Amino acid sequence: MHLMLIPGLFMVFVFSYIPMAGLVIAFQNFVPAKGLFGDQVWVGLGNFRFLMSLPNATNVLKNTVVIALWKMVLGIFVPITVALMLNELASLRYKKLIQTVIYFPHFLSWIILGSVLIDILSPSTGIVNRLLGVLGMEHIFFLGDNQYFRGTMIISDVWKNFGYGTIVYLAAITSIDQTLYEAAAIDGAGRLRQTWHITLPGMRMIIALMMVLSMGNVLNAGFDQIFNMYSPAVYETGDILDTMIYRMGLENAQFGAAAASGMLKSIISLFFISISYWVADKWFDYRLF
Amino acid sequence: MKERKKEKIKTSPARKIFCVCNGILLAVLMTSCILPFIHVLAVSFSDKVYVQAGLVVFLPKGFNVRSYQYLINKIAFWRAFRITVVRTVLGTAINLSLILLTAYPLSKSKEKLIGRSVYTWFFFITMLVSGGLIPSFVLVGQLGLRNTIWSLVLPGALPVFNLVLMINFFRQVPIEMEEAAMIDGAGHFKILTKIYVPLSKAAIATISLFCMVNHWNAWFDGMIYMKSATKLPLQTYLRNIILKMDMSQMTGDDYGLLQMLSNESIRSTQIIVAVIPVLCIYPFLQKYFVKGIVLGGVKG
Amino acid sequence: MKKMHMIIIATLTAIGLLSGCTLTESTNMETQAESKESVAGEERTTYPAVFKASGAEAEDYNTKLEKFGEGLIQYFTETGQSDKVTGYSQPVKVTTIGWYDASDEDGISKIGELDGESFTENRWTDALKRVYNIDVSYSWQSQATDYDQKLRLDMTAGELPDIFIVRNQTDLMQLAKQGLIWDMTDFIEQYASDYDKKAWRSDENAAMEMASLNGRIYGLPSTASATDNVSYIWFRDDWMQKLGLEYPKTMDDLEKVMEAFVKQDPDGNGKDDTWGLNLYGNDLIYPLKGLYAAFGSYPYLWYEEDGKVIYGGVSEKTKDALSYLAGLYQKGYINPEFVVQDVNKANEYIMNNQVGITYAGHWFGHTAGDLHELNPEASWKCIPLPTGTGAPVKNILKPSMQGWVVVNKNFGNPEIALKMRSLTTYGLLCDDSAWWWYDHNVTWHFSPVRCNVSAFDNLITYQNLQEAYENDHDESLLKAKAVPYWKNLHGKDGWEWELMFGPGDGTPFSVLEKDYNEGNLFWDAFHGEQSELMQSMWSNVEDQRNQFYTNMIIGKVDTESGFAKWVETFNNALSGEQMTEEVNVWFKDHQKLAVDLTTD
Repeated sequence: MHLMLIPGLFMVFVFSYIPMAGLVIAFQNFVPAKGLFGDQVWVGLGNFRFLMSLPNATNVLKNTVVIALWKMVLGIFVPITVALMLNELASLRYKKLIQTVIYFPHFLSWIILGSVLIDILSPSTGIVNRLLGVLGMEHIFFLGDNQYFRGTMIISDVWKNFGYGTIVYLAAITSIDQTLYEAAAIDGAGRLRQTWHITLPGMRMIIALMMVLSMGNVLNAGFDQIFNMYSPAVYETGDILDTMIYRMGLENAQFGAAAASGMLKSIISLFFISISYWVADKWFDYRLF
Repeated sequence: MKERKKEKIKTSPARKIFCVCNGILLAVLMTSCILPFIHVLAVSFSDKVYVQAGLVVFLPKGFNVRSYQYLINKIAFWRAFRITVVRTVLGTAINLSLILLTAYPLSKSKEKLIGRSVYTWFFFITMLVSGGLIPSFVLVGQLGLRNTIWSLVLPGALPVFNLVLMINFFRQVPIEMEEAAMIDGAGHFKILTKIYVPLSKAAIATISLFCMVNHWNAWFDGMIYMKSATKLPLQTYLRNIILKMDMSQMTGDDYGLLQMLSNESIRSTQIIVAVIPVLCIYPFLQKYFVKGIVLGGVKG
Repeated sequence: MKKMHMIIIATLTAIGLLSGCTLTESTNMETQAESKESVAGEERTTYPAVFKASGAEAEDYNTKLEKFGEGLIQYFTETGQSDKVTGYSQPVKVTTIGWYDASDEDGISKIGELDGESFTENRWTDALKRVYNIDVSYSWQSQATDYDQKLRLDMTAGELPDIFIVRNQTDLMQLAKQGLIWDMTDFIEQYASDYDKKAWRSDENAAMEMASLNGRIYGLPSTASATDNVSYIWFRDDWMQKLGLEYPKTMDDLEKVMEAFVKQDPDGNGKDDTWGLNLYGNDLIYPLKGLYAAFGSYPYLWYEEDGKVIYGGVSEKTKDALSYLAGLYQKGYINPEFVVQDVNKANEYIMNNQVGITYAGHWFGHTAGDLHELNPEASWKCIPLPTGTGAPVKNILKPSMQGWVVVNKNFGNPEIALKMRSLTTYGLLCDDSAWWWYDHNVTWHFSPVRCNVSAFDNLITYQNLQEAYENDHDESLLKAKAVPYWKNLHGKDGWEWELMFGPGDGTPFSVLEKDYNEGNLFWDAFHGEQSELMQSMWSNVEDQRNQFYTNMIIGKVDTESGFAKWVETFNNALSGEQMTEEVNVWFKDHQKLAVDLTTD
């Protein structure tokens, strides 16, 4: 069996581990012209200190974590619910249709979706606000108001990606032994109880897994999305780590600081994954390894 | 199956209401997912000036197929399309083989596979830590892969996220089947191919879909590793058209570019054509999700 | 399952391959060696071409190339510059890199259908081969936005081409300091053509300065017309007529016009949906340059005032401009949604007859033309910028660069860069300039050294066009860019071209000409390399600046206290005081360029 692992190990080693040597860039004042192995100046933790000293650094970090956490929670909860709902559908064709369609938004890039959303959410001409007006409510400037910006980002992101999670959960549901349901029905359990006692536990493993995996994304609050829809008016609640770094031009000219921020994100992700691994173990009785 | 359905319908009116509400909610959800597409589709069929004025919502205005005609004649677009198809097929094949090979041992218990934790952590860490752009670039160059299709397919040969998903699906295969096969004298490879693979069709379909989508949508690797404009994969190629322009860099002589960029119908057309193939694959793989898999019973 | 999978995969692959195969590109053919003597009587070989056109227009292509080669030698000999364009008896290989944008791609594919040209093998590479015996090959080409990134990656990997363009001043300086590129100063004096030298002088050596280290020059500027950075103010002329309004001369007058537009429903659609001014959120400065300039403010540049160089972003005059904008916002003349809108969105208001006043570059005419298609009544006019201070508005100029051409230190013939430069420039000066530079509006992009024109090129073109108009449409007077522009003026888009380059007072160039003659144009002051401090701080500065300005405009903070806080943040938290010091030190001490750009 160990032999079977060799191709995988080899590829990962070559393409993921060897480049890790480049992590040293995070500790250098990197000048591209000098070359990767050239005579770069070492600054130790200087890049990290620089990142922390940027104005709004703490605010940005807070925004990143809050937005990412909400996206994670809803990103698990919503697809599970939808998968369960789909499971209840009697008509196979309808089910297939819905499954196909809800996956669609995943394919559109945020560049496009961003401008579409800007249109839909416009306080004057957007459909949503017109609807609010019909219902007698005041118009809301979703993308320009600090109160609503975060919520808008979270909801739109969940909407775009829930199709993806739903597929995974549906695949899990179909692997559940159907005879269990029959047995439960014979015992007189209603659909709701069946769901609670059979379906959900049957998905337990996958749910735990998705949770642990998404923990690794805690600092990826969604650069593409926010970048295409934010503006200085909502930096206070909407500016995340990646957008700030992008504006600082760090990605392009200051490789050292960019590498430092990448490393920072990795360390924090590691931390969070360890926590969720522990949680999954204790509460779901689930071990990843 | 049909008998069961009839039984359910006979049960409470509460159940009926639930089913109806369920259906409606899902319908609403579904509509919301398809509307942006309809918008983009409408724009691709509309005349440029109406689009610029923001007058096109769900129905085309000034209907014409000029953008599509233009696109069909664009060699560069089809060239990029072909490259992405090749890359997707090749890449997914490599992904799947590696995933299956690697997930099988890792799904066994600790006793069966010595050092399982070590192996798993080895893979898992790469999800969190990465060397970054520059070392990868230099490495790919050193390996002589630059400007070849292998630079798009090899670096991501084993996507760890999907690997972990597969491991979990494999774990759910009942241990009795494996034991029965081993008694019959089957080696691991045979067990994998003859037992695990057929039983995990849902999982394999899911994961191949994910891999395909990843390859289809990838643009960054095409950007940094490809040297010639004729070797760009589709999404990288499309970026040129879709990106918004930085006004501060514009000069009067760029007006040709301004005309192009403001031609949203051409953009929309390219978007639609780029998305269609994946949308077509999906229904094929669908049936593996919906079909129930009977795991009960151990084969003799 | 597997079988189904295989079928699907096979079908898709087949489709993919078929789609690629049936649309093959034209192949290149080799020519036989040919040598000819030039007409001017000097011994001269034209070297055999590697790329020869094929297709319908091939004959025409070859004729043009022959004419070009002969004309070039003749021109340079007549002007006493013949030793600047000598060839090489042994072929010289030159590697280079390039970038293209969407319109380039479009252009070259259309051209390619006619005669087989491509981005890597085209009239320029062919001309360079035939005239000098240089084999140009491209290491890579990238999309415009990725060029700098890819170049930096190449720098890290130590794989730089022989002759190439650097677009970013910091990268250029890094290359110079690491000794990776040639000091071009002496070569410039010896080999640069007179036209190029003149073009480089036209911006008071600013572009050269940006490429200099201790007075020595490391890159050849590839400049475009700096006048393209000037912003003009455009008005819906038909609305002005309809409401009987006079064109404003001051910013207060301008506000009154805005009020009229907003309140009096000039587009007559019965809806209260007109805005006073067009803005978009992701860039508060560039589109509104004319508005800031009205108050004497230039928030994005360093310039000289009272003998010192200051950063426009913290000048008191900028505060005046911001108060004005805040006032407009309060009165409801500015759309509150501007914060999330980009240029395309903002244009929608123009196309929908919802905005009648905008600050824009001279090429706004094209948008006006699009609107004209939808609404034939809509017409626009350009006037001298209304002033906020009572004094005529001064516009600031800064060099508009494609980049600098540099030569790899490992390459043995740096003078080739200049010869390439001269050849490309001749393409502009010859009779077929429309074909060499402006074919499908993109061909000058395909020269490895791109363009190099006077900072006032578009103004000169405009004046040339006016000459033709005034002399009874005498087309023989037209030179260079004026030739294709004249065709455009009389072509199907003539209406929009006339709006910009046509005769009469309502065009942006008539305004520009007046400014030029009356001395209302001046250059920015800082051309040095950004110091390390500036490099690390600058994007932060612009970021904070945009935040503060936005908040002041939308009224989140009042202009007085808001601006004071901004200045304080700039000076202290962002080290602005220190940076200003550094800039002033550079300004005082920067060495005069060692190069002599005079021509006889």
